Amino acid sequence: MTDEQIILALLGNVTQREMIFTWLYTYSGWHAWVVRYVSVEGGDQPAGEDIFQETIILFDRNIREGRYQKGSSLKTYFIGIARQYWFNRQRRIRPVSLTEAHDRPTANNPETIFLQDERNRLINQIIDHLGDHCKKVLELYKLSLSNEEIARQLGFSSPEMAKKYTYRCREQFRAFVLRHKETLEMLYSI
Amino acid sequence: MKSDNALFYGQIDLFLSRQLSPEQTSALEKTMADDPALAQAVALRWLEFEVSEAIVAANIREQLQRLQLPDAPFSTVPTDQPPVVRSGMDDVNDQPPVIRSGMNDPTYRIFWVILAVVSGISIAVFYRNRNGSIPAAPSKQQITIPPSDPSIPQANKGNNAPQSPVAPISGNTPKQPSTPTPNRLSPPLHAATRQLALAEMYYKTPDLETFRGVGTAVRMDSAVANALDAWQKKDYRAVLLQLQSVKANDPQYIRALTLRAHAQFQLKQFKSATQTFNSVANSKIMPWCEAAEWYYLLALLAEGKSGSVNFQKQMKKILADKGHPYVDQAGDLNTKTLHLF
Repeated sequence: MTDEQIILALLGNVTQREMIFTWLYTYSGWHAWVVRYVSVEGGDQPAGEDIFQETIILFDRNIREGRYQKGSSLKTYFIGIARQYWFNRQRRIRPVSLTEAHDRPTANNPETIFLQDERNRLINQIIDHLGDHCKKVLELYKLSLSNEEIARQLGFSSPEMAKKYTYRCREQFRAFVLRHKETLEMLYSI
Repeated sequence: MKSDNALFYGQIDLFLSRQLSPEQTSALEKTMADDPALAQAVALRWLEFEVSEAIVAANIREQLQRLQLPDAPFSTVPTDQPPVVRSGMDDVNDQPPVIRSGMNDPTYRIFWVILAVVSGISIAVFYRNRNGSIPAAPSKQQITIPPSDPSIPQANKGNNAPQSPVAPISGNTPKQPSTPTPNRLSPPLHAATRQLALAEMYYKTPDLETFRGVGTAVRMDSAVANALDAWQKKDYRAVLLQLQSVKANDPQYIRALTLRAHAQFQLKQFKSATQTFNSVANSKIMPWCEAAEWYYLLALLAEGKSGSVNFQKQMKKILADKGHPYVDQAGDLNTKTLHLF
């Protein structure tokens, strides 16, 4: 599978994304590489699995947000992220974002770590507040799926219905957050 | 919102995804300092980004964890897997050093082989001393298909077999298989297992709201509402029990029938699920029938019937309808089933 095919699949619909994650995990050899790398670097199998998971999540997001500049092959890029994750893990830091050059982090003070943990905790609280359906809607909307695809995924009768529901969920989200303005300000200042 | 800042509101997404030029970024940041409403809109959109990404991440984790399970469809590498391309490594060392643990040492391997042989002999001696003879190995006829493999109907259930907990809505009771299945692990079983794995991979558990319907009032005290509660608790047997009382003239009948088919699929009653999905598909009631056509295909696949006429006919039907909501998935599935045998 070529780099272009992988990128297209990650930018594709839900089915294409699931297929590519399965392929990356099972056939690409990237998973085995990461697990072996972590083992060699002093970790164990679960740590390797964890690093692979977190790497694939950030890798996917970077691809979708256009941060991959094709300066290296996708596999090189992926492995760069995995290495940085493992580097950070050993220092109990979770990277926020990556540059193309996979720069190693400099900010590793306990305050930053605490605030990031706090941010994650609050985000999880908001997610818990949203219903399952709205969570799915927000996810599909974030993946830039068309209203037709959202309707198909969620069993709506028409794209218009999907659009209406997406709007409703986003409004519900906004209303909830605006009821907790101080949380919003605190999160954004982190 | 200040009207002269309207341009900046349109740039929030680009700003958050770092796609603005340094000048544009600087201008927006400066305006944010003077316009609290804009600053709040940016913060709000940023949080929506983060929350949505957290949901996306959770789903990826869930999928990868499923793949880690020993019985995941692709957790073991099939023999026909594509070769891993090794030429694309560029500047990265492709192979981390091989782990040389004690378990990989040839000496240890010999040790484990000897230990296994000794254990086998010890077990044999134990049985000989206890029963006077080594228990005979079961004949091929005695080896039954593990009940955990739901793609294979269980032979010889007879009257002791647990009955389907629910009488079907329209009386379409699934019949027990009248002929016993082959009682040995054979190539057909392998194919059946792979078909089941494929079916489970493509099967998506519908959200509760799909059944409840947007803006549709399912009466709180109705059987369908109770079934939906059970569905939410993943108690699929209770779903089937609740739906027993739904009659064909009930306005919620088609919804109930679909729910019933999915509950049967979840319970791995694939034969029954096939029949129920087929009923929904034949109802021609939109949008239920289109989804049912797809799930009917998956239920047939789960039954190990991807070679059947019905499967091929249904596949062709979906593929021929370019506007069908599941035409893409059907195309993918079609490619995969062609390589099954």
